[in-house]
Amino acid sequence: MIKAFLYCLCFISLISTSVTASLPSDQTKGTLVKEDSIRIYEVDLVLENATDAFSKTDFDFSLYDINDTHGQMRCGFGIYRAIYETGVIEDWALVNGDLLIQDGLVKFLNHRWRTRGLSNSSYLTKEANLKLTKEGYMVGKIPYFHLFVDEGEPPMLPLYVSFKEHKNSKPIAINSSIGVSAEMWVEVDGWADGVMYLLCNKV
Amino acid sequence: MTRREFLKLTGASLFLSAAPVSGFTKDLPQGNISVILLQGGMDGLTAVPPIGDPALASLRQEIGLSNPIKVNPFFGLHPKLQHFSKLMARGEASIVHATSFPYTKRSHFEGQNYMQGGGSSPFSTTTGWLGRALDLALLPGRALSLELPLILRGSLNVDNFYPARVNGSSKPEKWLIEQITMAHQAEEAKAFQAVGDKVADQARSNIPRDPVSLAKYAGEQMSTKGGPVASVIRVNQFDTHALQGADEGSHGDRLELLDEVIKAYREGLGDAWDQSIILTLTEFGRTASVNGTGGTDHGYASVGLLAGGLIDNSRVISEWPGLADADLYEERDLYATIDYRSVCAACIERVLGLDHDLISQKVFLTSKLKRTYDYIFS
Amino acid sequence: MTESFRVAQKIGLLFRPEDDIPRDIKDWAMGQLSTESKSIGIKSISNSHQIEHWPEDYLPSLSERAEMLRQLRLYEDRIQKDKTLSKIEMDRLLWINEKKNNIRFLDELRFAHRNVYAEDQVKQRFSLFWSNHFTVGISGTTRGLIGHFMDAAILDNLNGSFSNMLYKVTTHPAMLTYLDNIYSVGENSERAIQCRKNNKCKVGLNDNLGRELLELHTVSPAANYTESDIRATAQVLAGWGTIVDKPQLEKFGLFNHWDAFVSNRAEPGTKLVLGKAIYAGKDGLHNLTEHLASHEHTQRHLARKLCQHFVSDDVQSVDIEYIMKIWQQSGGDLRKIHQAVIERAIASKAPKFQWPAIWLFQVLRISDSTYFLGWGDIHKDLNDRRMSAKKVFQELGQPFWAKRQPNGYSSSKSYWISGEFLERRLRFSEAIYNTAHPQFTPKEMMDRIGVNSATRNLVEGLSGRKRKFIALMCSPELMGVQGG
Repeated sequence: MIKAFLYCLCFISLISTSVTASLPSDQTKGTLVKEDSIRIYEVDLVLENATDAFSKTDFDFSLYDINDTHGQMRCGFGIYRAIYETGVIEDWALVNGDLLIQDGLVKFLNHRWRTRGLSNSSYLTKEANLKLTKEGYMVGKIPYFHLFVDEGEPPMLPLYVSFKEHKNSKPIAINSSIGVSAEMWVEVDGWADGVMYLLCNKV
Repeated sequence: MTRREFLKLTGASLFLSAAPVSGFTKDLPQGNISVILLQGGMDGLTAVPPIGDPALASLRQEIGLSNPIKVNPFFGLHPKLQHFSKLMARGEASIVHATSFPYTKRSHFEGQNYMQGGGSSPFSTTTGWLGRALDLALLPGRALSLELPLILRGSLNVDNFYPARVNGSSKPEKWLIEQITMAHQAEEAKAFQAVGDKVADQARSNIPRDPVSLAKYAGEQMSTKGGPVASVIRVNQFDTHALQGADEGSHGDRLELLDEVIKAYREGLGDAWDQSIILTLTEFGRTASVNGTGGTDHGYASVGLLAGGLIDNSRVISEWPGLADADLYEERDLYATIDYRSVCAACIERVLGLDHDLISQKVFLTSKLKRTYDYIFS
Repeated sequence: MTESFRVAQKIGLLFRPEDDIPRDIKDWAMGQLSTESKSIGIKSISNSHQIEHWPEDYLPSLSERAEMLRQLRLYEDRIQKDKTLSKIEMDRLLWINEKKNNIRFLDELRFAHRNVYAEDQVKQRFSLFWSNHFTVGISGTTRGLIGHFMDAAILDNLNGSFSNMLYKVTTHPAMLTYLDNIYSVGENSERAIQCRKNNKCKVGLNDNLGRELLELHTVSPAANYTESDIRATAQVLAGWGTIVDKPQLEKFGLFNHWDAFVSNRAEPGTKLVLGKAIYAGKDGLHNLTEHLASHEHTQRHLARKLCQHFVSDDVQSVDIEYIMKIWQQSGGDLRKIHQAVIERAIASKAPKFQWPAIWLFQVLRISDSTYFLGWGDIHKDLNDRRMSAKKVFQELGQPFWAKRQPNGYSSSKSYWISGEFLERRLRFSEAIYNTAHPQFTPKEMMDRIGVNSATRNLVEGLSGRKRKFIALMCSPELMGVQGG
């Protein structure tokens, strides 16, 4: 008797819900299901590393012969865009300032980004990962703001570009002492490359 | 009396009066809720392949995953959901499988309206379920999109944020906006008012607008006091009818973006992650078997991915219907055995402190919503 | 607003300085439906008042477009397979290839020009309505075809029958590609039978277009079609379309991408769609589209959409019924249907909210601003703050060359009202003032349009011409909404 009554109720609720909502026509799977039919499947995954240790400026230096005994060199630097299609190198720098090369490691000192938006000096100071090879090339990866943010535009996060031994680069003559100039070219995107001009003195 | 108790008792009148209820200050919800809308129909059987089901391999053939992450003997995870898998390992993410809003007609148009509206049928409401929930709790929400999506509509206190890019323009002047606001009425006045509020708020400038950056920004905003309690972000292009790929490919790419968005939310939320829940929502899943063109068509059930510090124990929650012909809905789609509205309701209950019956009636406009809270938050 | 401007806002694009403002606006509007449509615009912003016809080179035919896409793909393939290139060099070459061979950028600009410089403004409005109804988004090769689709499948067919437009749209390679029908093969077709003999071969039916044809393009879910109907529709469609950039036409003995029915992929047998028997063969699709076009649910569905877009935000059933009646009486004659829409739009005194893209065209026309580049200017580094057409429409939130969902843009006002959308209107107004050299002062425009006192008070209450300009363009009147 009670069972029939309950069935009645369920049937009524079936009708009312299927009129208002597009419930599947086959109701048998959906409604008369018991609470504990839902199963909890435990998870077997284990954490391998404690943190997601991955830096955007990770770079494989093993392909290069890094010069780590070289001493100190202090350089003024400026990075400019080299437009691919026209071959023109722009007159206005993306960023300029000073850097130090010590024992093969590049450290950015006082410098300023001109690109506005989110660019500020903490990016290169904290994240840059550049080294000097025995032939005087700078290799590694840095954050790089490649566009000027104008009025009316939202800012963009930096790209991360890799300096390799670009065919246009002119390496630092590390045996000289004063007034050493160099060019480090880097591929950026389809529209332009970057050129870092350097003027260095041994310290 | 705490807010929670108060809302439990007076739910009905609170909704009707629409006036802020005074007298309760304790028990303000500490948590926040984010919904990631996956548009196009996310393929649950690709995102979380039921590797333990013997019927899977023959159904999926050329789009079957060769290298899924093994969550447990029965379920795997798409390799592009790297970050999500790490959260699962940490006990901060769960999966609900074979689930859907009760909608089976496989139309994007209707399905998207329904998943956001949450009413009795598509196009039956002009407000959205999250908007109605926020109304009840009198809390603010924010959409990270150019338009204000249906899911948030209805709340007195929602806005959207999507950085503009109009060359030759600058941040509009407050005075100008005020004058224009006054010339308009109703919805338009309210929207212009929102523009005015935004220009006054310095924190909202200088944000990049790719989905990952927006998710991070949303997280940061939700972690601040007085900031939005809910956010909605969208990831598109899940509608892969042809050549959807497997481990790599179009569907995998969207899952990778979804993974990055979840990661960015976590970065933005910082300490507030412990009080957060993020859930995905899609209009339908996709057909169990691959079609003749390397893709899948519109289906029924899919998965829901949940992440956040409010989850205490990672798990896969499912009443697995099976993939044999007889087990499929209309012999083509994964059957939904869990009403996803219950999952949404559980998240609302956890974050906003509203009572389940209240949520069922006032948010999902039904008296019959099952409570699955304990499966998710215990 | 004066009656002429009020009507021209609802069903047209407002009046440029060189346009005479008609006295009998209804007469004018009806006459507009027969105006010749031309692709006009400007070659360069440095000579912005020389409005002329777009060069023939930039109006390629379908086969020319197929050839361009072939070239595009050929070079793309070659570049992508070249192992000596770094990723960046590859991107570089791909971009140059795009600029050279992809007609899409010119198509999008031409669309902007057609509207900004239109002499056939009412036809352009109807054309955009139908192009949105029959949405084709970017998907593979469609980027080079959307422009042709809008011109030849929609605009050229505005004065024929709806049935004819439906057939032309459904068989156009853009639609067949966008909704994946080019991959669809009947399960009992010769091709499928052949394929099953080979283990590695996989072909089958794709129901994407079939579903959307019923759901979005014609009868809508209100007709309560079933999955069988969808499947049967897909079967009728199987065999239509080939992959545009592969030289396959000759292989199948076909000459025209628009009429590409590949019989060995077609599903044999009779199919039953919404109670109608559709026989096998090429004519099957024609019979199906005729049946769907004359279906009452189609008429109701589309009458409603037309009202929502042109007549009033709050759709009135009396307007829907009227348009349906004309539809039935005329046998689906689009010119008569459009006339009916115009009549109802004029009769309805309610304001009608305008899409962002329409609003932009209207603002540019009444202020005589040069905001879009000329066809000779694109891809040039002008060092100008102007955005490309692509960026403009993206930012407005209404790109027609984008990966889109097939249901198109909503004509419902509430979709478009959000803080961010309205901020865009303020910003675009400012950008136009700053960079596009409007030729009329706010006062001159207000006088010409005959704005109401509320608008005048708003504008005159502000100091500075720029502020006045922005306020005028964002006033309720110019947006097509009720004032406060």
